[in-house]
Amino acid sequence: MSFSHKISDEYFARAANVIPGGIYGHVAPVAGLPRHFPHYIRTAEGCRFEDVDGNQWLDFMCGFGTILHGYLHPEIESAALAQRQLGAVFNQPSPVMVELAESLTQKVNFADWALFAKNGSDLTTWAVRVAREYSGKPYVVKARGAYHGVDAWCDPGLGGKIKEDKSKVLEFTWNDIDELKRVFSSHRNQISSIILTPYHHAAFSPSVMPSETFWADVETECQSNNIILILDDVRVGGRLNDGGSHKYFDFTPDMAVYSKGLGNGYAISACVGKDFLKDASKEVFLTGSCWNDAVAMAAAIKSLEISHSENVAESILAKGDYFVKGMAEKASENELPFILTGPTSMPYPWFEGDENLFRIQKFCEIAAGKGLYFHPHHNWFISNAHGQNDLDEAIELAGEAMRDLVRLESV
Amino acid sequence: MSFSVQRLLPYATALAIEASSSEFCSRNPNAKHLGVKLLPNQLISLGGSGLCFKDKNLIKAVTSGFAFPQIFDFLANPKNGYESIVTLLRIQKILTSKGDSAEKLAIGLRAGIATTAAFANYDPLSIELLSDFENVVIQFKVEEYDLSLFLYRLEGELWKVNSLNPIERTSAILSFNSPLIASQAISGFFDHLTGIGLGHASVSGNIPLLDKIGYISRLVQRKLPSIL
Repeated sequence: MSFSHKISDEYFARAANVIPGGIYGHVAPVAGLPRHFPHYIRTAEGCRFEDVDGNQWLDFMCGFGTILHGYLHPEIESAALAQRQLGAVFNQPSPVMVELAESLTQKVNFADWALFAKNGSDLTTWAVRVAREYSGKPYVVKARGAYHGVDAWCDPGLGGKIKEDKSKVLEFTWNDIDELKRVFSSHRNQISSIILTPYHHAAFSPSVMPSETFWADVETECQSNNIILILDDVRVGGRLNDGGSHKYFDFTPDMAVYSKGLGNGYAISACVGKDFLKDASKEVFLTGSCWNDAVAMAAAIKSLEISHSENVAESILAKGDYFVKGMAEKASENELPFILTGPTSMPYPWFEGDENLFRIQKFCEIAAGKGLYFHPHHNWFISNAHGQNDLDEAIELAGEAMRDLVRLESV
Repeated sequence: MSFSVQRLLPYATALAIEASSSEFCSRNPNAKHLGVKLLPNQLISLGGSGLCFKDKNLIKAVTSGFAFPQIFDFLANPKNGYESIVTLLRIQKILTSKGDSAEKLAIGLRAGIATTAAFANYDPLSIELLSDFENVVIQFKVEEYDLSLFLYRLEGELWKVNSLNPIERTSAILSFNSPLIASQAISGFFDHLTGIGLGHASVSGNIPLLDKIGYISRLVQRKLPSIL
């Protein structure tokens, strides 16, 4: 099957005239499969979408993680619609802001307060500043290669930088506690916080789970060095445990930031924290033009409610287990060293020995020709809308793609 | 002569000339190869003794098409100097000719990649960006002409350009789908983001490596003079 991208290309050509790069950021064509993925999507429902050329896709990216319950989830859309009929942005916040903060502080076990913005970056950066305000210390520590947003201190891009942007950022290798201890001791009494994702999910490389003792060691080191532990749960939040990924890995951060799955496609992010940081948090200015958007907050309240009532994290992990097992069987049948790394609800695809990525790119290209949206450079996402039939279909088509890949490589 | 980063622009310019002469000589075996030598007192020689420019005059020679070489060096070895000038003029004629040819593209592309290599080797920002990459080979292809050039860095060595892959393994490929697109890329008129999105060029393999090399090449195009 070969998909037409005629209309998609026409839009992109128009975009090229008026938008730098046509499409920018993580969805820029150059970051994916430019001649195999569509540039523009018309609509989506459940776990499937239709591009502007009318091609139908079985999706495994879920809006790069923003969709947790499935596209156009009826209950969430109803909640959003009900709020939209009242209005979205006013001079003052809507009461839904209070309800959402209450919901989060009830559902996240360590959270004594919550506040909201639009993107993960808005609040990862803010949380780092809150830690600085609390401690009076300048440095933040992060894992090498970890993504925490687009602000200057952590932006992984290349342009528009000055050395000072990262002059107060220290790095260590994920899971290397000895290196972390060295970083802490070399900057004693100068580090305000460490910001970490629940597991290491860098782009272009396999995901790495925390070692058995990693989180306990991090907690211990933070406590003995008076360093605030910030959990960047922007991508993973809601996908390992409904109460936050820290519960899955059994540790307790001082602050945590959520975004992607929180509003099931409605732009919202949240930071929650412990009581001892509440005063400091009041001193660090935070605002944005449409950050009081009540529609996104109403969607988030419903999304959280469903996550808890339907045990969504547990459900998508079980679906992920099924999917990963099925994919492993297909790989084995085709004698391909294909593995899915990281948690099964958001697996990262990898061919062993394929450091330069040619093989995964070719596999995803072939899969795209069969209507599977498998990204070659980013972890995939399973939503709660993926049903058994969808997963079976994907596994079968992936098996065909693997056979085609083997055939192609043998020529 | 030890390299000083203050001389990066004239040195990179000279290395582009050297690279274009390497490509030219591979097609014209009797032509003179313009090897670069960095000399004290802000001087650079091309093709051995006889043709030597002040740093600033070399850049002027590229941007305006003409600049006076150092007269004493020319008088010291006029035959060699004359042959070098002839080669320079022949390369200039090819590069400024109308239309595309495999020779023009190969010379232009090799010169462009050589300047990227120069920055990769000597520009502090570029060195930092590429610090994680060793034993890597990037292939640049022009489909219709079946033309390939390789930018590579082997363990412990500097970045280099060649028409042959030194290790028979490629880390990443940038392929221009037509001579016209390749020509636009050499001239700095190719939008890599939209061009790739529209299929005028394709990328595969180690995208983070290509991303960084691409950024450096655009940095070079902004900073360096061009004959085109």
